[in-house]
Amino acid sequence: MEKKIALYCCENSAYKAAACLTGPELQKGIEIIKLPCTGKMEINLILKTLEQGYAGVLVAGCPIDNCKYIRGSSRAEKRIEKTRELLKAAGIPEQRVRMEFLSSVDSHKLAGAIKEMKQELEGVMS
Amino acid sequence: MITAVQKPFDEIYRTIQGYKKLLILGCGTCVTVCMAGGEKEVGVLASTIRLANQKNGVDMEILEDTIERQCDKEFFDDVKDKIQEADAVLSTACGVGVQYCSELFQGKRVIPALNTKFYGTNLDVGVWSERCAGCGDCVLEKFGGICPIARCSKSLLNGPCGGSQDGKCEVDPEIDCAWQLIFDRMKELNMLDRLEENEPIKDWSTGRDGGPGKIVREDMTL
Repeated sequence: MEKKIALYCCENSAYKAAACLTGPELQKGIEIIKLPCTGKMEINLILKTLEQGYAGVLVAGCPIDNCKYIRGSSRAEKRIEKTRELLKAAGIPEQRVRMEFLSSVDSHKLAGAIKEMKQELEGVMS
Repeated sequence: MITAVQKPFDEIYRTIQGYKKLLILGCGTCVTVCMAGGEKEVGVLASTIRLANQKNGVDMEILEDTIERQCDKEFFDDVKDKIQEADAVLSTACGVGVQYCSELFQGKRVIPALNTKFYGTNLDVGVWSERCAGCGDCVLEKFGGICPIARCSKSLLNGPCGGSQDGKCEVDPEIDCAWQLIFDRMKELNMLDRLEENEPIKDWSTGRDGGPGKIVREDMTL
């Protein structure tokens, strides 16, 4: 069975964009999880997700300067960066974790990020 | 509080090789507050090790637990079975906790996951700064509450060295010159004349130079 990407979405932006994703190619291999804000994202949760067998974790939140909770996206960005550092230090491809900033109408941007991440993961996981 | 930072992952990973069952044991006090070795950090370290093991094909069971303090005997009661069951303990306590765990469980390998740094304060979220060197003979009363031993890079007791420039230390421009801070504070307190007093050579035997410290409170002993 193909390993999935866990797509953690802020309910104020990316979750709405994800709802508009069309086409089986995009929806295949993705599991969408709704967050109240990406500021809720913890390093523990990202690593646990990978540990459970997901190929990658894509965190999608509001643009840095347009977070409903002001600092949520910037806090998430720092945690994603720290997680990537931890993975790299452990010899695990850091490409398995990624963050995207987008608004609720940016379905095309989210689709692009998913495609790109799938391709990257194919490269590093093979 | 005692502050610490996690050791580089490759150093930790190297030291735990060869064990089939590893207990990662966190400490719920100082290192939880400084976000280096509490329950959350134990979880992150355990997950990272498991992922590295998956990648490297290493067969190792990892247990996780965190006790209130690793520097007090009674808190180990809750985890003694887990410690006995494990081949080794990877402790995320400060150096005190690692040693005490090792003392209590003779014959059990206890490995440190942290580098213990200093007695410090939490200046801001995610920022800690040294304030005390544990010299055993506190001089804060003489210097307006600013410690020249912990905060001057040279631990000078009679004024700044020639390396003090614009209120910063020559060791690192990010470090405030402790003597500039002392001068400013004493001026504010209208106590500058106190700095005219010559501070005699310090007796360092009350601290590290006197050998390992020990406190015995006869009124408290059983």
